[in-house]
Amino acid sequence: MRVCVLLCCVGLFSTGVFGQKKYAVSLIPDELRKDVNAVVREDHMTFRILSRSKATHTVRMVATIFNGGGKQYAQPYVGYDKLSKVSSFKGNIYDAQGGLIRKLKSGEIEDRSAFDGYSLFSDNRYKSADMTHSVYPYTVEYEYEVEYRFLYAIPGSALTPGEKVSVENFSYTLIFPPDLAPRYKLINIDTPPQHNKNADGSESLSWTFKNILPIKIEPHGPFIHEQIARIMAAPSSFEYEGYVGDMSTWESFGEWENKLNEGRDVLPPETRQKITELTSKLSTTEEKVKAVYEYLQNKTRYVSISFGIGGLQPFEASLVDKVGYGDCKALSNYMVALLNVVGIKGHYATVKAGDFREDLILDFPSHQGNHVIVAVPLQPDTLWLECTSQTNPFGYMGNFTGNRKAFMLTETGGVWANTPKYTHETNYQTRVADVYVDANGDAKGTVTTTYSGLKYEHQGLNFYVNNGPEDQKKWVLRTTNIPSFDLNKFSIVNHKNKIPSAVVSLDLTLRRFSALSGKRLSFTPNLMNRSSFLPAKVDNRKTNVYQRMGYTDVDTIKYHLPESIYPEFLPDPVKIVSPFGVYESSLQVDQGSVIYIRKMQVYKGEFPAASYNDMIDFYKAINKADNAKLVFLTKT
Amino acid sequence: MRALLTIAFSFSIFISFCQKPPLKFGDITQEEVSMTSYPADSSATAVVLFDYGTSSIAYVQSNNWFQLTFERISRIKILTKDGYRHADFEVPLYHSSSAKEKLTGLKVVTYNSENGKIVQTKMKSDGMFEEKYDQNIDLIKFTAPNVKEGSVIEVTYRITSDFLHYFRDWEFQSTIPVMWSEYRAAIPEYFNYEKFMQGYIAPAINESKEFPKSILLTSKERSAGRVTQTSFQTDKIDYKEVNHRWAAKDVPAFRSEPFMTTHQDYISKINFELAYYKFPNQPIKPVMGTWADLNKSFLESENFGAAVKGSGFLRKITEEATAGASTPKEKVAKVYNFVLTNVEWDGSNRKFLNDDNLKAALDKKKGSSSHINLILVSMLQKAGITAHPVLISTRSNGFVRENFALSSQFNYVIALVVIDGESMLLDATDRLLPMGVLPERCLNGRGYVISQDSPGWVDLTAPKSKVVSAVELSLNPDGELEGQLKVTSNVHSARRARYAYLSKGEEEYLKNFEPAKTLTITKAAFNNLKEIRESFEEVYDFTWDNNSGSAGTIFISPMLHLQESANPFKLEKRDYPVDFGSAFDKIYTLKLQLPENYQFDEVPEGKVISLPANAGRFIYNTSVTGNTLSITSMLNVNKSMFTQDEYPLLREFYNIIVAKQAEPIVVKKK
Repeated sequence: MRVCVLLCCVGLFSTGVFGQKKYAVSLIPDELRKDVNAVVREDHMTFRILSRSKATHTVRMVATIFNGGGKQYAQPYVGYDKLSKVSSFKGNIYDAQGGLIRKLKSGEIEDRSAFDGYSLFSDNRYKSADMTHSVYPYTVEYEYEVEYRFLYAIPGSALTPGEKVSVENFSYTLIFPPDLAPRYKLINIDTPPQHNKNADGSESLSWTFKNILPIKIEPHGPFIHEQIARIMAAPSSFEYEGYVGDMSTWESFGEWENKLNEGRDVLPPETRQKITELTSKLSTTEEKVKAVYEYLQNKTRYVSISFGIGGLQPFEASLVDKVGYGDCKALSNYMVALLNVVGIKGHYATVKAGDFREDLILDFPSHQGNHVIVAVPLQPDTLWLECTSQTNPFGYMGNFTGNRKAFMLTETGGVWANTPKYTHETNYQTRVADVYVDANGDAKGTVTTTYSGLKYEHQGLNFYVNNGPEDQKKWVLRTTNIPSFDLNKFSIVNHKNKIPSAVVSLDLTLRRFSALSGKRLSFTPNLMNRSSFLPAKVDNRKTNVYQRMGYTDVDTIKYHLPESIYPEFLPDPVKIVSPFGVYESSLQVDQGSVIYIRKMQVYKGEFPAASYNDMIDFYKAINKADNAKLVFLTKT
Repeated sequence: MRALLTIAFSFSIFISFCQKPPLKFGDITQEEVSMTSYPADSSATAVVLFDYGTSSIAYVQSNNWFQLTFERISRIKILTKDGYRHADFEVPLYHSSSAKEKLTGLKVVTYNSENGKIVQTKMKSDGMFEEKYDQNIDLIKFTAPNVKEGSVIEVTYRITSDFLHYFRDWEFQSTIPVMWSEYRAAIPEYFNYEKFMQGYIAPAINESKEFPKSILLTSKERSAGRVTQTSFQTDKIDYKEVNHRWAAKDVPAFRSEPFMTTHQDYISKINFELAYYKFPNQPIKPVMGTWADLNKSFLESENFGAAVKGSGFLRKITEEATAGASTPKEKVAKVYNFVLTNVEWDGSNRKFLNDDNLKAALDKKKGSSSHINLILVSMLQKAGITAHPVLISTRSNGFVRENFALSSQFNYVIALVVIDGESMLLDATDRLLPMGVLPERCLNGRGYVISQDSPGWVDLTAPKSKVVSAVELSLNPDGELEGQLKVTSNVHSARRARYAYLSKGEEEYLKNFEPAKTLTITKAAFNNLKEIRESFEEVYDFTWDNNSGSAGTIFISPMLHLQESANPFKLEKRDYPVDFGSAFDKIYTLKLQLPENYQFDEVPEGKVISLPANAGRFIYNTSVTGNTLSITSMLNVNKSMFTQDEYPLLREFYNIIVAKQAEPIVVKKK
């Protein structure tokens, strides 16, 4: 504590050249102050490798906050767990002139368990402090150190922490004994580090940057992580709770993961026998895998419990067998063990899960995944299994783990494989509706929509298919985009295939469906699939444009009309062809009816930055076409 | 002796709960295990078969004081895989410096049917975890083993507690249906708790009886000498114990609906609050007394009234802050501004100054609502103005029950100031609201004024929010539309808009501006962004590529996506009331100018509809003068709360509005 007090005093009394205090806001270069919520005055991160299983991580940050938008930079947050500790944490708050307002008291530092929203229990904890102040601008200075009793992941650092922030002084330093040199990877920068040999025999790699202007994250561009300049680092030789490994190649990293899993696949004889009986009459491998997968789905549930190495090492298969639960690692390991019983090779595979997540960086072997699944190589396609869900269709990866690379463990280490791809050809939303409009403008309608592929997950449909009707009704009410309607009846039928689908049927009463004004009756023929998506305007677009999901929507709506009316005006057919997709809508007039057909196809892909305005125009044109009205006159 | 005491106790417990418990741990029936659905709610993913809790207060000789024991047996049926999460449990345990809650006797058993036989799996220690949540709370987490569709999970545990003022409340309702929920309480006559039921479910059983009980007090004396002798003396104290029993049967699952405050306001629950102690031959020692007592205790509290009255350091600050102000009104404004700009609300809701005193809050420049508004009151008083703190409960904290003088109902402090005989409520936590307008979170019934000579209730109201959108639209001879939209908002509507603008910036704000999806905004201006006392004004110039019609006939949607494009009330019936928070007005006017070569062919007709008792009104007016059309659409919602019985009318009211506002204008070329 004494050391801390001394340090703070230094901070307080050291003054700049012209007698200004060193954190005075007036010392910030003008170009860094334009259009920012905060200026990071100092950002210095040091990761010191002490041995194969010991390291320290030191952060020193000084940030000037100009308005509420910069609040997060005044709220430091330090995570730790059973194998690490926060050995120091201190802070000061300064006013605009750089004068000390107050020091952070130890009582202000919160220490809490970090609830991630899904774990039943984990040893992850955090210390945090709220250093916000009410008079802007103000400056916060904080410093902390974390001591690790393992070496595994090395925190990297981004040159700018987000949008509307500039950075005055940045440094990132790795210190290490010569035989434990870490590896690094630079994203969006190419400055080589300064390599030093220190007096104590250690070496260091360091980068320094000055006066970094704020960046702008462009919408529908690469993921934020890919737009920001940053430094990644990872150890080569490392140790985690006694497990020694080498991360410098994917093969050797895989070998280490194999070591963690070694001997954890033993199953009790009764289970082995059950599995053998279950599959004995099945002929194909896929049928067998499916039977085993369904056994797993019925037998287990997802409960995440992790401490220490348990964050990386699965429960033993025998424990999962006994208690019937586990996390992704435990359940995937259990699945691999079950498949083993019938001689089918399943691979434990790591992915970065989450809807539309960036791919792992393949040329930089390091811990990047956050989820484990199982791969079963079959001809022609590898089967992929999500083992944490009791309801997931067999072989379906979806938005969570589909369309990306996974790191598959093999006997000799690890290899990369592609999880299933879902494109505009598999992602379908097909709707057929009959709407009976009467002369008063009231209507009744039946609507049948098939949601297939990734559309199976439309607004969480993949969860609702397993719910009871009361909850399903909530989904139906929420997703039926008609201004006002009464839902008379509905049903949802679930088809659990590798490309799954759900069929939603609605029976609706649409009172005042059609606006009745004088001699006219009018409505928008696009019953319930009107696009309103419009990419935001961007001046001088720099990054490439991405559409993350491809799909095809087809709406066929038949309007049955009373005899007393005839169309005054029919919108012209529309066809829009663009690299981003194709849109067509048309109307067919028949005896007593009008059929509206709309087909919209959106392509997944990467497009040149210059085409961004074409993307805006594409959607604008669609939005316009979707709002076209159908107008009838009454025969009088 | 301990043994004797235990025997005496078990005997008396037997007497007091003469009614048999509704279930015994482990008495699982075949029927429960083989049950596959719950007919009353086909959506149920799991059902609570039984939930049985008892709370009792008993004397503990080693502490020479009483202890609270809570015991619970829950039996849960898992129906579908989606219900698996009901196999995870979490029990928070509170502890302060010396006193604590302690959990013992935890047993968790899962029952499954295998080949027609009931097979049980007990939870081992590997299924239980203790987590230090924060300084005062530990979480005991556990999960049942071997859970499958159809499993019955039975859980029992006991919590002993030193906190007699924290008598466990009981929730009869859950997010899954509850077939039988029963709570019993055995309370010695020495302790009096106020009990209040809430929610929309009537209990099936609500009874209480008195039983005689006794405490055996053993005192021990040790004689000194060559042979140590210990002599015991036992005193028997008789007292009465009140036994309560509440039970609810077939309680439906609580499903939240839009426009609600907090689910805690709606679920069926019984709450307890320690009112007073009454020991033999001693005067009653009130814990919860009358409102007058509560007023007195708040006035005297170090962490409340005394801080307002004291805090001498504020005297000089007040002098400086009010320098130059001559009238009381000016003084109030200056003090309010000083507090508003010098102490930022940290987002926490509190009524007492627990962690920091007023000085610390002013130094830190941030604090809870109580820090901020007690500084405000203290400074106002020091400036010679009549001002009092007001205790309130925010909307997310739930209703206040005025029958009970319970401080625990409140979680927030505002200020009442009297200027020239007129009173005004102040809350200096929000820089985006003008002085005298309470934030929406505070608009929740009535607040209680803490005052030496005029304590009492005050209505928490705010001026009605109003948004006026005025559009001037003109069609040019080529059939293109352009115009100007002016949105003027006040009070809370203005706050929402200002907040969105200031927190995200203009670019982001425009991105989220709904009409921008159909209109092309060519120019945007924002007036009175910082002049909080004025209405917030947004002015947009736009062109509109209206896509309706052919060369000769044009159909124009008059509302430009600015009004009710869809009915917010989709459910055909509701189980709980609709709570808008406050009354509001939404006004829309359109002036459409046609060029010489066009004329109006059809314009929507006017319409007026009202809800009973003028709770809501919608007026739609159109008029054409030559080539100019004027439309006024006015929606007034005059009360904030609509009961579930009023719901169908409210829904239909919105249906009519949505339909009316969708009617197009038809324009023809001459």
